[in-house]
Amino acid sequence: MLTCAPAYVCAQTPKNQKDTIPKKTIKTLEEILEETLQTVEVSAFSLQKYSVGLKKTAIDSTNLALYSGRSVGEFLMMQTPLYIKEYGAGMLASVSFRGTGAGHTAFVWNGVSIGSQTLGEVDFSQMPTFIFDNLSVQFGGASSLFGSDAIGGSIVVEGNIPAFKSTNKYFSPKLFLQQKIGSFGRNNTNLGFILENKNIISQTKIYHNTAKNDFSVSGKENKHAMFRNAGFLQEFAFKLPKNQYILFKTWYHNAFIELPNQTSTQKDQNLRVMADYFKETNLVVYNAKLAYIKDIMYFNEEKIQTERFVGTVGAEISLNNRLNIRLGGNINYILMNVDNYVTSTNTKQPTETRNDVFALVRWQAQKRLAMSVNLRQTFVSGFRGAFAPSFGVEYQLKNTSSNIRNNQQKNTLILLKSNISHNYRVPTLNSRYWQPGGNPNIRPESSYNAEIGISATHQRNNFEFKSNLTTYQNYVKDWILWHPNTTNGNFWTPDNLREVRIRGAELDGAISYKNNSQNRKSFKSAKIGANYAYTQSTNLKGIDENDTNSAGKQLPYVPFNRITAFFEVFFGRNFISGQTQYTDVRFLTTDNGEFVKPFVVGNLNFGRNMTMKIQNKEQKINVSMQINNIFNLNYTNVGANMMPPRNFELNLSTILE
Amino acid sequence: MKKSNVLVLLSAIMIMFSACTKTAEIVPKGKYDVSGIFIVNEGNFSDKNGSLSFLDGKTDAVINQLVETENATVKLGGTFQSAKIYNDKIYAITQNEDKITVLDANTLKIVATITGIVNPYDIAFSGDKAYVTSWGAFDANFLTPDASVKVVNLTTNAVIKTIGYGTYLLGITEAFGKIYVANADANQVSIIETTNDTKSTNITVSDYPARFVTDRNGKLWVMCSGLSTASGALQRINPSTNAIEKTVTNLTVQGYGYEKVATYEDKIFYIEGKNVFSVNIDTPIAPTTPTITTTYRLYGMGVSKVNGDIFVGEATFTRSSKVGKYTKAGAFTKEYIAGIAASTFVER
Repeated sequence: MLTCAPAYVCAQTPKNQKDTIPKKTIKTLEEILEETLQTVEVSAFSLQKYSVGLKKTAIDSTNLALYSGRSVGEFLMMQTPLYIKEYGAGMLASVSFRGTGAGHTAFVWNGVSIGSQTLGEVDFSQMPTFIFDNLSVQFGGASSLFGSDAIGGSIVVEGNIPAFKSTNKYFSPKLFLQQKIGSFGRNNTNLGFILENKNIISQTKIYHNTAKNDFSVSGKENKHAMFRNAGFLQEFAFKLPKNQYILFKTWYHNAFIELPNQTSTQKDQNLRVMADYFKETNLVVYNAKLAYIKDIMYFNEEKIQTERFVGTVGAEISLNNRLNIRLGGNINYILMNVDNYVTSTNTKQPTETRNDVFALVRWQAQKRLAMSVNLRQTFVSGFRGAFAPSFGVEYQLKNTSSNIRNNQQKNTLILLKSNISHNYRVPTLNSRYWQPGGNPNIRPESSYNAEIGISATHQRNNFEFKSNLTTYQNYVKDWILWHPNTTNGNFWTPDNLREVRIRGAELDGAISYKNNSQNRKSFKSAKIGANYAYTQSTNLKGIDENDTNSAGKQLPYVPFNRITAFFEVFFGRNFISGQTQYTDVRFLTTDNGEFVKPFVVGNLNFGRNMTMKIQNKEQKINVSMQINNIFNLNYTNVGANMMPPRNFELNLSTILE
Repeated sequence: MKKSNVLVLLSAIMIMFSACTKTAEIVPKGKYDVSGIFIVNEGNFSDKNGSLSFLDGKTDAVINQLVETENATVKLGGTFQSAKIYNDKIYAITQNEDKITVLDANTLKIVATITGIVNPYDIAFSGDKAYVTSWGAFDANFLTPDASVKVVNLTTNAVIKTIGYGTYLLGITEAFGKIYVANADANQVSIIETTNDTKSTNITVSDYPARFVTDRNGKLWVMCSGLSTASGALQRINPSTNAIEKTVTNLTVQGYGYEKVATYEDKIFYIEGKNVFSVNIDTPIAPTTPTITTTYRLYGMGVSKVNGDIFVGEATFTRSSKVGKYTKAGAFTKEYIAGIAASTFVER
């Protein structure tokens, strides 16, 4: 809670925490965060209210703030059960979520999926944590909500309802500055700026991250491994009459990456522009969205470009908070500019239209029982679409709240959850149009997902205990694989070859304690927690008649076991936190003949929050230090790609008002 | 290769001789001092999991991951483009690692590494020197302006000279005291004098020369994969005159990586798709029927000099390759499992 994150980054801190933290006479950063909490509500238009029965984790934004200057991939690897296949420090990072492939996780930015349309996957190394106000991890298949790719899970970024100031008509600026320097040429600069009044909120974020990565392991130097990325996010929220508001978001990201120990380089340019309109009435919320997304990637000098125009309309009807119905549709028009793309009718620079219609229903049947039925149908031009229904249920097995001594409360909540769904992935543009090899007859991938879970929260005095246990099964068929063309020609071709059954279990738990003492110097809070995931992702058949040793084996790059654990302690103005993760063996081959060894990484972060009087105002300054790979273990994540030894980061940040 | 065989033979005779005079039995110089064939598993480009396997002639079984097993988990790396045996040492070329690992052929222990060669591809030997084709760093258009042949002193394992070409170089071999380089982009076979390590003449050949093999008459054969699938060629070069004596064109072959070529008795073997084809060394004509048709697509091929057994490797990059053994007449004998992308076979 005390790390020096900008207030707007920390808006997502779970609400129940604010009730347990006492007010003090001198404002701390924590209290600034508290104030933010009182004015910000997570969007009523959030899709996640319909993901009944699925496991979801809202990322504690203070945790995320520890990773500012880092990518979402690095965060997910250290703090969630997701496995990130990271090809080196700051390099390409794809995900295996619940035993699925890199293309089976949707990354949804304010309602629009922003993964690469050509490769069909998300490079998590190009998602700076600093950009995201609210990030949540949605486990399990949810194509009915998020469309294509949501097979293993989804990463969801949703905005807040803008909290326009009620009285102050003057602009009140807030500035966040952060500078980090670290080993191996690491340098991160983040700048945030908020200007707001009664009718307008403007939020600006600018970032620049770079590292040389010129480390050596066992006398071997990691060469040609520099990366640099920079970008900005500009958001405007305008309050309009009659409960209307409109949001404008522009996010530009530019990256240059040297592929380690090779001579190739990669350049990325991503422009994401969005206008998001809302109108609220007592019964209905209307939404219309227009977005333009341009992705350019240069692999050496080879340019790969897609442009997308996205339009969404939706309306949500809410009856007494008992019944929510969302109806809508979206249009996704894709223009491709890739040298190797040719359609079956020999057209260069093809275009594709992907349209969806959806109907989502959430019904709070009783106080303790909630259900959802969600339906989505997608239509792809020149192509068979896919249908994604889901059904979810949540039942509160126990929900008690009682007063105990000293006006303190004892709360217990035990929730049973279950969800079944059919999910899909539209084949990537590469697999349809890339010549030679592209396969115009390829089908969407298809998944049947079922999960059941139980979550428990118990709060007593200043203690809080939370735990979740979830088991799931996911059957994925028509999984697309590229394989050497079996008959002739020296090229690879994609086919609907793989069939996989994934079974897994996830267990997490966290205990936290908060001290109510008024003494500024005393112990304040402590939290400890862990995640464990077991993933059995079994290949059900060989891809051809000679592939006799792959059926029944674990998929490559899916670890059976992953553990992450963390602690954090706040003492007066000081804090210390640590995170560690264990990743089991990853097989390199489908017959499980070769593997990469398990690895452990541990990070430690400690620092101090200070205040400084500048022009009679208390301004907040945070100084902290982070030690990464504190055990100095020599490990690789993917193949033989070198990872950094023990290294250090210094952080200085401030919020000025 | 020829020279190394002679040396191996000589040393074998010497061992036998000394063994007979001193004791009654031959003392093997290591675990792998037995008849057999080393299998080069190229590995997957992104996983860098090239590996060396050994088909033990005695037990008729394949042992995988030799380098890792014998060298306390040191990984050979990738992409494992080539391995040749010279003076009882295996020179293993891993292109992405910019490295040549020198292994004792009897114990498989690493005895040296040759570094300082960017993107090495193939190696040839002459006297106490090795000649390594190197692509150098790629430029932005994937051209190889720094491509060269690096001359290595085999005593110090240091690069002593760079012979620049600037065009994409592939296979390299020694014949008649000279070094022959497959200068693929130039459609030439370039010759290097070993006395002073300077460029000699170039022989213009068919499109895209890639790999060499020397037949039983000491004639050099170059496999050219052509620019399209039905434009491959095999050409016979007389290394004493550097004249092209025979040419077979219009061979159906695949491009880069699939240009495998081997010889036994009066035949030159090559692969295409699921087939092994052969041409006669004296009257070469484009074959219409394959010698072998396997059930899988081929990536690797090699032929035993001892008995003409033909070995093939399955084209897979995401699982272990099957290796098939066939008689010289093309009859299936046995199947083994090797590493990832079994590509070439190096006989002891």
